[in-house]
Amino acid sequence: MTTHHGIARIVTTALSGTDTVHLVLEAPWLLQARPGQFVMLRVGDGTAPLLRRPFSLCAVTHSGIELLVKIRGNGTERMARWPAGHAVDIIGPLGNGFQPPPAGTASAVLVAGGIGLAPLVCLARWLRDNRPECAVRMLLGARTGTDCDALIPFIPPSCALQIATDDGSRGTRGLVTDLLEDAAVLRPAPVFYGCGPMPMLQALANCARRAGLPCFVSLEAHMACGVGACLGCTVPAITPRGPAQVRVCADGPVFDSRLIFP
Amino acid sequence: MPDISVQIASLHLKNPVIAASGTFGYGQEYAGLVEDGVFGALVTKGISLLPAPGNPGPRIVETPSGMLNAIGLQNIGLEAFVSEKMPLLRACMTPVIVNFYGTTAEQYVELAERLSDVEGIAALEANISCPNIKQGGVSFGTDERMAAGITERIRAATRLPLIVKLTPNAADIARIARSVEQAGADALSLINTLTGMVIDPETRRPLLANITGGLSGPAIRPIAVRMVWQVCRAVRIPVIGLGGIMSAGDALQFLIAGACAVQIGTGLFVDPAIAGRVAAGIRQYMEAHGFERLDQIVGSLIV
Repeated sequence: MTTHHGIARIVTTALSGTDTVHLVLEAPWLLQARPGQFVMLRVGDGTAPLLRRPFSLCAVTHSGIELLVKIRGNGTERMARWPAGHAVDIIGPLGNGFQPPPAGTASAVLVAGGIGLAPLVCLARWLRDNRPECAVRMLLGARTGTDCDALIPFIPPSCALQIATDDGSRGTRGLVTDLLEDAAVLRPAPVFYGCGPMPMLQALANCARRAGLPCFVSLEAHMACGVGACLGCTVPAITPRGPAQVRVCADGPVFDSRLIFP
Repeated sequence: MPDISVQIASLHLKNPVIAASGTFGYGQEYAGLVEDGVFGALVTKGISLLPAPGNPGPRIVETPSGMLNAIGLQNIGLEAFVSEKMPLLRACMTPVIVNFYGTTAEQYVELAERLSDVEGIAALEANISCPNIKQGGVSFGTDERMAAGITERIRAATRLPLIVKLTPNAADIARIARSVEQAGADALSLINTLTGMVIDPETRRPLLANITGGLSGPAIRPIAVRMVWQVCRAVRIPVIGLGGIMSAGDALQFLIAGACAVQIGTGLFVDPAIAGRVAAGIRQYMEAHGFERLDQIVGSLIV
């Protein structure tokens, strides 16, 4: 699957809740992209913002890709107003993507922190279509019920969904990783996949290590090139060759959690 | 069709657009996105004698019309570079310029000697100007005598064309340029990044783990053009201009100011197709203005 630089077209742009945008794009060269991979896109033609922005794929469709984006600043505000037909300059697919669980895997637990849900939606859809024997549990954490409601519509109904919110307005009050203490989550022994803030991923990695179960985390970082050239997005890791800075863009964004949280 | 080829000592470029050090990795990372041969030459990531881990993160932050970086010269070291990366670089059509740095004069000399024995290297670019490492780097590049001293020693250690990359973080870049010229450099490249800093008022912390970083991108272009103009009036050796080039028009500013070639770094992150676009734009400009050779533009500033 080679990386390509091309122009995608907006099919639809839809606001979900107040600050989450769902973008459907026509991009014929991205149809082979895998869950966990990402694209670098240009928000505008000018110098503000200057650099491309990385976004994980939330779906790969028959004609392109879908993105789920949290509105955070001028760039993402502009994206939320992209009309149908708008041309988007995209490089992708990039990164390694999630390693799919072996066929016959009985259970997968996907742990999402806020907008970190995006690549896990892509993975959940893939598992639904390619690992029907695998029971998929989605644990979603968000600050508020409102944040939660903006994200829930994108979670495939094939997933068993459990929610934790900071304010307790949806699901249980507390951290999404608190849900891992429910013994039912570990039966049958799952593969863990996570995407969200680093402390959440750390707690997930700790849980997986205690249980002796495999765990893969998708990391987020500021990036300039997205292809492994600039070394701007590195994180410290323990690799088979010893401690090193690894590139989130080209060595990841998905890592075995033991490399990042030894 | 106008001729946009350039000769810098024994280095022949079919066009004056060069990929800047640190932005094009070891030449393979952009495979599939940047066609081999569209750049006139490429400059590798800065190489040191031993592998260098670089700085902790965050290492980059975007700034108005620019970016601040503090990578800290992370690289795989000379041995791995020669054994793992050079075979692939040798297979490229694009001439390879190897950027290198040390923290002592002895390291610069050893690197220059050992790189001179490696097949497939078209030129060396000595980095005496990185703002993100504590020793060496920029300290060699801000002191006229140290810059001359290190250049002289590197010159004696290699017969490859020697480009010395200058920092804008010096009191008088033209004086540094002159002393480096007198010490035997074949060419100069400028400017490296300007030291900058960004603070998050909410946390009162710097946004880079290294606290300060090097500013690049269109934000620094007017400073870079001015410095290239000043240096070109002070030296006779070829000058390669860089700093925030995003278009052919930007590149032409550097050429008109006196640079014989340009490098593109941050602009490559934004548009991997930039080299072809800039080279084609320079050609179109020459056709439109009746120029046949690049040297008719170089230093053609009208004041």
